[in-house]
Amino acid sequence: MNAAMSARKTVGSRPAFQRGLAIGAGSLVILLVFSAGLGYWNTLRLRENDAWVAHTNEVLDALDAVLSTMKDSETGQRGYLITGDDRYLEPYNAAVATIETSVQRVKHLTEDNPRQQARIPLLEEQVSAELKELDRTIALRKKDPEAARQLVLTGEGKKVMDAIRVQVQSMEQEERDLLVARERKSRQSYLVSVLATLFTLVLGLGMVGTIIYVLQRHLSERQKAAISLARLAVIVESSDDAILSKGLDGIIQTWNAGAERLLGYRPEEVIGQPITLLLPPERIQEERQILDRLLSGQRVEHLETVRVTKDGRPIDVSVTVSPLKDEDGQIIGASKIIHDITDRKRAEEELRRLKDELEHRVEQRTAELAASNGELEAFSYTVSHDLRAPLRHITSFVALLDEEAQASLNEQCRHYMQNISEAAQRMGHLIDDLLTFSRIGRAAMTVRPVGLRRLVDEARTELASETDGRAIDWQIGSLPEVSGDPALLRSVMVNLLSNAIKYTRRCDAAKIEVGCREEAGEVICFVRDNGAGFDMKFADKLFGVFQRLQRVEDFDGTGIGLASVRRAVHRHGGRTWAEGELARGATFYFSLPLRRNDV
Amino acid sequence: MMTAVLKRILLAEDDPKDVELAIKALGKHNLANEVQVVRDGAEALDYLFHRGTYAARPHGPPAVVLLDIKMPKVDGIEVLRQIRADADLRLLPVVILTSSREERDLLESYRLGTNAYVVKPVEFQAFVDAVKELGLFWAVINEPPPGSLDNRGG
Repeated sequence: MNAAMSARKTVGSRPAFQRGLAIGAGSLVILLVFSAGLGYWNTLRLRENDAWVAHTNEVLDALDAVLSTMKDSETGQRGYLITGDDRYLEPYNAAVATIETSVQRVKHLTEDNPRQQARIPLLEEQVSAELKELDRTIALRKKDPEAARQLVLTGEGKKVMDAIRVQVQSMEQEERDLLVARERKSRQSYLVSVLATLFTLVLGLGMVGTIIYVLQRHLSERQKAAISLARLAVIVESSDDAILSKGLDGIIQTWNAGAERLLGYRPEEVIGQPITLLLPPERIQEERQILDRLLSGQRVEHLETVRVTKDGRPIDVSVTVSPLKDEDGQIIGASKIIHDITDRKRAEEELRRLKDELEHRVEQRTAELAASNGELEAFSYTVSHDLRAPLRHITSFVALLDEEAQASLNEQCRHYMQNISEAAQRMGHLIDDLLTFSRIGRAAMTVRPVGLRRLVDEARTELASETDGRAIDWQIGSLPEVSGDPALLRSVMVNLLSNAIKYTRRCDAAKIEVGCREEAGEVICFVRDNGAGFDMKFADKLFGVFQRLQRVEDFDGTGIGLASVRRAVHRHGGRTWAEGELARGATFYFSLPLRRNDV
Repeated sequence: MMTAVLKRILLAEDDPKDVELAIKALGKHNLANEVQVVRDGAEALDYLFHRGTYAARPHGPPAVVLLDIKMPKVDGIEVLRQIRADADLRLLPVVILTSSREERDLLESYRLGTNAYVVKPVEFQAFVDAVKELGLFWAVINEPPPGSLDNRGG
């Protein structure tokens, strides 16, 4: 895999994530430092409290020592007073030797406590008074045991001793109270420490949980992105089109299998090479234009151009270029999809060739047709001009001959001359009708809306001379507006009505009917008469040039009229046909396609 | 074909029979002597522009030109074109007298400014009447443009 999409950045916004992660980790570190500091502080407090408890016990011990030393000295004194034995004086002497030290120890130990210090002078005074009392009784016993006994009986010594006890007890009480207070404080410290530890623990766990959650989510996003990237990569790789990417410097960065197939280069041959490698020399500037369009924010879609393969073969391609952007939306390069359109181009070329050929053929045919039209026109012109001149000469010179020689000609000769003149005139009519017929086929058509009713009226006016003195029953139905050339349609109507008038000449009650109906996208018109009619056997001959079903002596005419009708109708895309019966009349039909906006 | 006197009608017609018939028709109105016949377009132009055999003819244009279209060398349409393109002759009355009823000829003639277009009738009497009336109208009744011949009645 060429990691075609490696140029694409992963999804998600990494800076925000990193910032969040840094803040989380920083907070966690601060919390840990705070927690450690709190623990340290609490430990110090606990140690301090422990020291104070020990101190209190020491003070209590010291006080106890003072009291017991005093009791020892008193016990020694009493033993001696009773026995007089010096041995009993040993504890007394030992007590006297140490009492000062014991009191000083208490004094020293309670230096921090002003209230205890305040009690020390009284204690010292009482101890000193007791020692003096003891010393006095002992000294008196040595001289007078009874006086000593009397002195003891005064109870002075006992009073002092009791006062010492009270004093020591109050000092002990003070120390005990202190101990209780310190233990309470110590408990509080301990509680605070535990609570703080718990709090930091919960907070820390919460933070760690959050960080793990965020990390996990990020990782799963990355995984999803990686999966979709892998999918894209598969699509890119399996594409028939060449897909590649390049940097703004025009250096190729990725290259898929389609690119290899289409252009022949292996990825390692082109990655790192300039894209211009693929451009034919005459199109080198194209790359610059593509880049300019990209930088102005435009895409380049389906640009049809030419690229060159590794073996130097130019191929027709369609190129689509899209900008590659980094997270800040800055264009950092472009992806290109190059689609091989050689086959299409070839097909287009073939199509163009066929079209050109066809056009050429049409032009040729048109030219041939124009030439043959031209010839036909020249022919008509010749007929029109040159054929008529001799006719005119025949009739004219016959007329002149008649003028000059009438008197000297017999009846027979005059009849011949009459025949010559009539033949020439008939030929003149034939030529005229033939020219008209030819003109109907050639005249340029101007198609516009034409009212059939108006055409019928005009035709009747034109034929007025033929209906003079005749009683004809006209039945004109409702006639629509059609689309066609007015002059041609007029000639159709004139011819059909003229025919009907002509062939009803011998009827007692001539009846001519004109009507129309719409049928299957056509307007079908008919002219019906009750005249001479015709045998349906000859129906297909009716519309031919110079075809006549009647003798000229019976009904004059050149046999061009219906041929002209057919030609005019055909030029409109319509049809003509007829129905008839000898001596019962005839119906002539013509159809015209409906105007498009009528449908 | 030198003529000492200026004729009122210039007839350009290649067909001798038509010439004969036309002169016959004009003769019925005593206009036969007023006809100068030329037999093709080139001769017509020579006459009108005093060239070649007509270099020494009496000065001035005729009262009317009766012009056939289909003639050898130069056709009637071309003659009409040159008449209308010339500063001195452009107002000269011209009548096309032809066998052709072709739309093309009609259009071209009127486009170039013919004064009339007459199709020669096949029937002799009609032909005689048409030519007679043409001659009478243009050579006698019509007032020619200023600068045309002034020897009316001569």
